[in-house]
Amino acid sequence: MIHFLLLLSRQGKTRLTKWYSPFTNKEKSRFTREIGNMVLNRPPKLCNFLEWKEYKIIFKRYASLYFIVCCDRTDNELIVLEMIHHFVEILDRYFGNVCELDLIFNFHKAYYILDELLLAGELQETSKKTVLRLIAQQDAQQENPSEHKVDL
Amino acid sequence: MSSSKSFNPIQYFESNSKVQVPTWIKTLQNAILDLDFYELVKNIGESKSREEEHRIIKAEIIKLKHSFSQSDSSKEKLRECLIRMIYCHMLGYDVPFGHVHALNMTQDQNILNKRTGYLTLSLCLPEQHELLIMAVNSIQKGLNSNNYLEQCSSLTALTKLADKETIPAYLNKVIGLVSHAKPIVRKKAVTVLHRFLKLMGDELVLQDNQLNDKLRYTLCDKDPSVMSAAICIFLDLSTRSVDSIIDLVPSFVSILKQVAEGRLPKSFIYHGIHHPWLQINLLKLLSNLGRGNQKASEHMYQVLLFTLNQSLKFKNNAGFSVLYQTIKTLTTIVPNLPLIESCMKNISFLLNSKHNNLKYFGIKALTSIVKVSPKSIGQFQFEVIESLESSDETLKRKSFDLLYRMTNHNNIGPICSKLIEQWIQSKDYHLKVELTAKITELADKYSPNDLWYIDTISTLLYLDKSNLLNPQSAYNLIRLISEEDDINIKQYSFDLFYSKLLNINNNNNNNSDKDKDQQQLELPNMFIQIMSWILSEYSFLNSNQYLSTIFSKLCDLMENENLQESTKSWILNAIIKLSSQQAVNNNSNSKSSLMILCKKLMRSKSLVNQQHSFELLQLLQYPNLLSKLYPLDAYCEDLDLENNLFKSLENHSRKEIKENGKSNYIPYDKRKSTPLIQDLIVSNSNSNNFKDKELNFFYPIQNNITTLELVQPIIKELVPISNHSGGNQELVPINDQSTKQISITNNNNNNNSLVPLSNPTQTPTTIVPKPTKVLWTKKGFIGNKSNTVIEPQQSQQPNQANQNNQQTQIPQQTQQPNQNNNNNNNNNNNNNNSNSGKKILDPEKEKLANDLFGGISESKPLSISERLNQKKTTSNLKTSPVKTIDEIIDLSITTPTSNNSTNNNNNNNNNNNNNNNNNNNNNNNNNILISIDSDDSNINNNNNTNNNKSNSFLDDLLGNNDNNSILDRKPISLNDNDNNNDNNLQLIQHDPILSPSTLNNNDQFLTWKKNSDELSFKNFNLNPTVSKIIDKNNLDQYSINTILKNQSIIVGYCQLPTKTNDDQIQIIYLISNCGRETISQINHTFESNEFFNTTLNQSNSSNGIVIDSLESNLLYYHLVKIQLKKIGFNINLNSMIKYQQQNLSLTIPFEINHFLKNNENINENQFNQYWNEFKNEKVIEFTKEFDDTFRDQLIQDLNINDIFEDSNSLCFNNQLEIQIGSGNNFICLYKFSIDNIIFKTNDKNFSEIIYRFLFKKLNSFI
Repeated sequence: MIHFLLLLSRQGKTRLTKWYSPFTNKEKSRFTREIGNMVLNRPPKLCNFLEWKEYKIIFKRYASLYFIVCCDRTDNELIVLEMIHHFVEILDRYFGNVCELDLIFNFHKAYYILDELLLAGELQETSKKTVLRLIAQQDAQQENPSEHKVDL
Repeated sequence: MSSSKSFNPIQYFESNSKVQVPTWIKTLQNAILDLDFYELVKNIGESKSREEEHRIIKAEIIKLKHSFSQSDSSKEKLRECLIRMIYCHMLGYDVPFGHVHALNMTQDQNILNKRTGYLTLSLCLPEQHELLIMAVNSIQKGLNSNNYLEQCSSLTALTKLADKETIPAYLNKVIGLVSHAKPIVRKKAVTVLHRFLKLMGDELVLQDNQLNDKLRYTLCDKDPSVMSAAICIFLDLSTRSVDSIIDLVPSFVSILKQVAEGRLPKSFIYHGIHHPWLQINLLKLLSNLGRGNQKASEHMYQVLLFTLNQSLKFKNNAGFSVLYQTIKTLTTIVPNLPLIESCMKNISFLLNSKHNNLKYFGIKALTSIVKVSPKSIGQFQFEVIESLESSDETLKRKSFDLLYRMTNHNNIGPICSKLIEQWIQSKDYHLKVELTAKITELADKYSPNDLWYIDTISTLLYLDKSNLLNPQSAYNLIRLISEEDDINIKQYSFDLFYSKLLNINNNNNNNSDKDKDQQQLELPNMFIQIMSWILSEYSFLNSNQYLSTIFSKLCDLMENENLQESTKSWILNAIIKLSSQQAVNNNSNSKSSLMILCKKLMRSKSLVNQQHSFELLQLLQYPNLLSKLYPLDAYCEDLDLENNLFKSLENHSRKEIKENGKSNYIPYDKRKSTPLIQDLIVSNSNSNNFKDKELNFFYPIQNNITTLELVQPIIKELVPISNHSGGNQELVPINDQSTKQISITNNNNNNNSLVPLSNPTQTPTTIVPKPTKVLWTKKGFIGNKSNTVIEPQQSQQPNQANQNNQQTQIPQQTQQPNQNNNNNNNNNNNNNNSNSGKKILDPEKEKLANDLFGGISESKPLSISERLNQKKTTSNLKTSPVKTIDEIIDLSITTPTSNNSTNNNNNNNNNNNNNNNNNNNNNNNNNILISIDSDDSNINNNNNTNNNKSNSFLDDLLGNNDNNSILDRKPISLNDNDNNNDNNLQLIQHDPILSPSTLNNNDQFLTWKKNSDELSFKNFNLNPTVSKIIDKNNLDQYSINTILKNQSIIVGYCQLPTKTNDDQIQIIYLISNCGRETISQINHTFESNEFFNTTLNQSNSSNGIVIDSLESNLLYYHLVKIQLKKIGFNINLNSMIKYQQQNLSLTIPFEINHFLKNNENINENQFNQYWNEFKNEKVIEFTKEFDDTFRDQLIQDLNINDIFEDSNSLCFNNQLEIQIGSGNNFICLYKFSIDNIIFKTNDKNFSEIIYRFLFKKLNSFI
């Protein structure tokens, strides 16, 4: 199970956080800092996995943005890595050639996409199309609030 | 550069804002709010420091609060505020003020607003917040909505916004939604159920059959995504209770098959692999279900193989992840070895990959394979070594994990040293904890020998600054050392810790005071505890000089304020122990420092330490008592309270009672059985004081507040006896003298009444573990409950290994070359070399690989005993066999022939094949007899040409002539004279019990005459061979010293009185089996030593005796010649005896006078000649002047004959000149004159010894 997901910029600035396991606010900011240090300082070409406390950290860098996932030790790291990639692919489709800027200014949209993808710490949707369609429908409703029924 | 990166986008926005804002206005109704958000993001992006960011957010929060408080703000404005609030929260700031507004937002009609509300709540609300109940209403509404999007958003929110209390409110509705028309809703509903299950635990499933059915129904959902969500639930369930879903195995298998076959819609294909997430979850599920379940596992093999092959079609991460998961599953379920071996080539692809991620996965796969099929790992040793040295910490760690898992008896040494190396380098706390646990576990399990164990654990203790080590393993160390019979081990550990102690303090001396404190602070408490215990317990092994050094150093340590109180109490204990020994040595110097220490500790915070210091202070007045309380090396002795202490007390009080006419003492158990006793006590309490006393015995009134609570109950029971007998003199009057004997301190201090009764083995700190039974085996510590599980497996191992061995002995051609350890290693090397092509190998790495992978390639890890067996058989092939007649024949004289050696080989082959089976032993022995014949004939032939000496020598040593005649074999007798025949007759008379068969081959064996276990020749039935060595008519002169006696074996030796000229003596070495069962494979070796040359009467010159089997009540003897090479103090002959997993070291102490003997009388000229030649002159001056008679007296009292049995005194020129020595090697000459003794020897050490001896004698005389 995934315990949390962090998006950090190369400067260590938080771009997005999603916590699936209960942590206090203090813990959250401490973890973010701790993991940020570990991940950002890691030389390239080493493997993308880190052991941290009783968890495992899996991260991948896309341009200037680090996608970091913390999961159980029993989880399969490679597939988590693929999950990150999957998320990025969907973001890319949605924003059309996504960049850090898109995520900064539309971070709530990123949350919506993430909610479709990951539920309760498990990956729930592997189809890009389904996710995108759902989000598109929600966006459509936003523009036309009166229109309640949209066909899938 | 970093700031510009984040800055650029904002510039970009600013430059474009003029263009973009109008479009935003079009799409969004309120662009100004958007601009507020952009402003915030931009400011945060530009902030250079944490403080600046903090300031911006604070301002923003105030702004947000203000906007929330405005009642007229539009929904859109509120929504934007919430988004800004989320942003603040994301950066780590508390935003409790907005929660209610978010909650209100969820009630909104607009789905976007609703969603924003839910998002805010699910992100910002802490776990189990009170607002969760407030959210029930709006979420329920959402679930009931007609719009599936609204339902979806409610369900999404539910995954976060439900807790135990609110679940019942949703449960039925969610279960209803599981059969919703839209798959997306079904999927989310299933996920929400999963979440509920996690929160509620098993109760939810058990309560609700409907739910259970629903879950199973979802497995068959026509939409794969719903099924995939359901699999997550089952995966979770499988970790908790396998039984409830074990019947679903065929379903899961068929689902996996369908997924792997690609039956899913195209949208589920990810990078060519069909729904890898689902596959992996299914594989995990199967591995949980198939673990230890043969039937379930058999279902899986086929589909697993299929999945494996499918995953290899696409060489990408998704494919590899499925590959790994399949391997992992294969090794977790009941293993199918051929299947696993077929995976190996795929692993090599992972390991040889350039990317560390894949290497990491290769190592991970190996780690899971190593538990099932350790030998498969061998081919990858170089890859593993490479990743061990990788710069990638993660990869390295995984490789260490692999090492840990592949440890066996062979490679424990190098692996542990690697782990410790890693331990030292590592800075990570969690890693250190893990490594410590691993190292101690390995050491307990696989420790090759005790010395190694002591080394490893003490190193860990020394390094372990943050107390990571489990205290148990430290106490295990103490247990090991104390239960070890071998004095060398104790000495070794003493030396080890002593050097550490010196080191610490030396370092401190070099540094300033400040550093000193820091350094001592750095010393782990646990280390100090163990160190002080060992140093105090075994200081007696060394001279007093050590003792006082330790004493002072420990006192220094006590000064350290940073130590824990418990550690101080350990040190104090050690100091008390040391002082008890010093008391014996009458060292008053330390007394004063002890006093100071005690007085200081009396004010200690720790009650234990106070108590001890009081005790010690009192005890110091009675040095004899102190040494009784702290006896030397008595840690493992059982304290026999019942017989010694109680009985003596009881007897004593009985005596007292009789004298005073009181009623008799009734033992505790008898009293308890009489129900009237209570009444009696009550009614007679005034008139009968003794009853009163009894009552007190049960429920002692604790006079002293400071009585130590930690003291064992048994001691508490004892307390009143001394207390009340002392305090209540009327009741049980004890005169002063007896009080002193039993409890000295009664009169002085009540506190100390505990002391004399306290148990020396359970030294008052009850922290020290008390050994109850033997918990150590060769395999390590098995005392812990957790470890006892391991034991049966291990005890089985040798058996299995034995079987293996037997198999391997049978035709070698049919088996794979894996049979031989070395060969196999080489093979692996070769394989690997050919596999990896032109890989250039570093010889160091190669060595490392051989070290680490030692024994891994074996199909099963070999136990120590097994390896010993192997060694033995191979060495037997090279040397002549043991226990055959040959051993007694000095082959150097008879020149062995090819005939002989082939016979030997035959014997050996037999030996090997039959593995010392008893029946086959007889076979062997028959062979031996045949070989005797041939040998004899050989000798006979040789005899014609050679001198007679060999024959007589043979005859001397061989009793086999007689044996042959028993068998009615026509002996090819060489010197078969009447005398021998007589012996033979005697033999039969002596040993009617012995069957001929045992007699035949047992000329090296004796039997006991009667049931006696005292080693004495009188108790043996002597056979002719022995009779030749010793004088039968004068058996009294042969005293046998027992050096080892336990339940199964007695070892002793007897020194023969005859001395030869070259400082050589002969001893008869005796090993007797006093147990009931036959002991096989007794291996006895003499350790080489600078002082002695030992020669066994055996054809080969190796210093070992090997007895293939020693039957019960048989006695094996062996003649050993010992030659003195060098003179020194404490010349001991050390030897090791190994049998039945036991490994004991024995010591025979010798005195020089055992070796020295009188030379032929030398005349004055010779004496003078020697006197001039010898250089090592020593003079002892007499302090007083003696007259002649006095000098004679002195010489008589010195009694040089006592020291050196045969001395030769010459009287020349009014000077008494004595010459002793032996052979040509060691000679000592004395000259006695009026005021001194001068002596000279030809050996420096010899002079030293004599000097000391004389000096001591003289001093005692004066």
